[in-house]
Amino acid sequence: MIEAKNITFSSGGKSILRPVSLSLEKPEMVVILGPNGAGKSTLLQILAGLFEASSGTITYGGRDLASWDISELARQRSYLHQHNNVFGAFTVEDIIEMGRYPYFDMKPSKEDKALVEDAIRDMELGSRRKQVYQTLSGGEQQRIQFARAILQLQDPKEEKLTDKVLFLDEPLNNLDLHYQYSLMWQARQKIVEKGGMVIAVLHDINMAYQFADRIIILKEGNLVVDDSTEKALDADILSSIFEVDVRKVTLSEKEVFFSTRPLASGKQSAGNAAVSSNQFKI
Amino acid sequence: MKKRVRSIYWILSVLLITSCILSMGLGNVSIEIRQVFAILLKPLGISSSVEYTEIQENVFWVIRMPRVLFAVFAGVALAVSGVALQGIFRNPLVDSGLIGIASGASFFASAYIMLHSLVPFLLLGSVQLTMAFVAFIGAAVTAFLVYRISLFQGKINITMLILAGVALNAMCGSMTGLLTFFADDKQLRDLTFWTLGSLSGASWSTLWILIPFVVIPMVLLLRSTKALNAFALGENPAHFLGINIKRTKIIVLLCSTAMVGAVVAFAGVIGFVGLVIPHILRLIIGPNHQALMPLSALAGAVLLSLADLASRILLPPTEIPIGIITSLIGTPVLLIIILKQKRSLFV
Repeated sequence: MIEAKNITFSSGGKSILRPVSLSLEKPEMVVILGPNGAGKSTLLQILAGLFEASSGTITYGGRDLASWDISELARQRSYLHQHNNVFGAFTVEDIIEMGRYPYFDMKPSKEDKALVEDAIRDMELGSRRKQVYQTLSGGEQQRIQFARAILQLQDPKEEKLTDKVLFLDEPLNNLDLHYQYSLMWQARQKIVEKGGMVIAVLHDINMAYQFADRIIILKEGNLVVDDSTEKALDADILSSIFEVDVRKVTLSEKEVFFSTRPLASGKQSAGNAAVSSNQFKI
Repeated sequence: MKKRVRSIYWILSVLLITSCILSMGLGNVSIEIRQVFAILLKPLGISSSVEYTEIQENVFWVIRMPRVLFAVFAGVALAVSGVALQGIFRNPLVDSGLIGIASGASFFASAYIMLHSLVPFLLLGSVQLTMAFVAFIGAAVTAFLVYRISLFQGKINITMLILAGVALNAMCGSMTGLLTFFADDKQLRDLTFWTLGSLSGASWSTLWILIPFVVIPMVLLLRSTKALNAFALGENPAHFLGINIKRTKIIVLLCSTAMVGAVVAFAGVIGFVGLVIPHILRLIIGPNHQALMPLSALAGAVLLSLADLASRILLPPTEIPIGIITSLIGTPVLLIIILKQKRSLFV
């Protein structure tokens, strides 16, 4: 579906992405991991077509991304942003309904309305539907934006979402544990299970471990790992990339990652000079 | 909310018709309401028993009617451009005044008043039309400059926009002030007209020029209401929803400049309509542009026709400049809203 060849990006003389090549074909959940400033969001935005790479090519379904009509593309992929400020007192319903904008001209159809109802129910926003977006908590706002992004890919006539892509930029921000799992489940069930693809930037390694099919790790603009989740999430690799003492342990027959302290090496050491090991009693 | 929108439609429609009929009747030559109807019905071939003089009939058709219609279209232009500009800039403080359209137009018009003997061309042989054209160019130039200055990495930076607007407004204001300093009595009167606004120049010929400048942008903007709603989410989210960001911005900026430029060209600077009307309506019916845009048009028409009526009848036989009236009404209303909305204004 998405084919990226040697894409680079630099801004203000600073190289943010070194040549990155990716081939994203299968209906799967791909999680992009990496330290702060590694270029994860930039890669996500370029793959989604928000702006063009400095060099390299991206094709969607064999067609150059730039040749896609913007309204056609809107039915093909949706994007959940890290930060979402809304201007004006739009209600929860209003915002979610905007997810159907690529499908209707001035008035939503019956099918659109029905899909909006489903989205409100699935994201457990029924009691909030008439409330003004800004009056809600950060987590509720995040769920609303997620519902909108999912809705943008639904097709009432077609059960399958083949070749459709949901981009999620740090989707778990502000969410409590319940909704973190709810969001990841829904991304899998509503997109991946139906034949679509999810590409998400995450920070939570255990979430990635539980939900991702494939892991991409960036460091300083370089693609350092691109592999199946099992192979990619290795304690030693993670320790060296994130400069923490990552360990993999088995708890109730499930494997989880944990770490106790930053490793005193590289750029991370300076900011954490005051951290002493005895602060962590694990 | 739908019910509320519908009732506001009705209230504003009734208000508009009432204010138009009042405006047609009241003034130095008074025409009673039944006479207004009788005069209106006459061209349709319906004669009534109500009597009126030839002077009343002439005043009605030559002076009142075009002026009332001018107020209606000008009100639509100012309010709708305010809605659209606030929508794309995602800020309730933006209007045609802020981005320099009005002050640019009035500076160019003032310069033309002072220097028109030096300008070698006349549009269709009419000084008035040429001045309107010059004012329009002024509006376009300042709007474009403010827009260019506020561009940062291909996007409009709202802080830069406001600062650039303030700076260019101040510059245009001081240049207009400088011109005032050198003006003779006749020129001074003309300059005052521009800076404070008046619909006294309204006539059938100016009205026919104004109408396409209001109706065509209005149609284009009504077609952009969905895009403006998407802009509320931010430019990037709107892009992902399939909205052409660049095209929407160009449509809104061009339409607003055309609408307000044409109004200022014939009637001078009329402040606050574009700021206050959308703001009040947003509080009543919500931010959805599909309802906000047409209702603002109606409300703008009501406000400006009432303001023009007030400007004509408060201190007869002189006319108070309409810009003074709208600012006098607008400022306290705006202050009340800001005080009430202090916390939520900038969310």
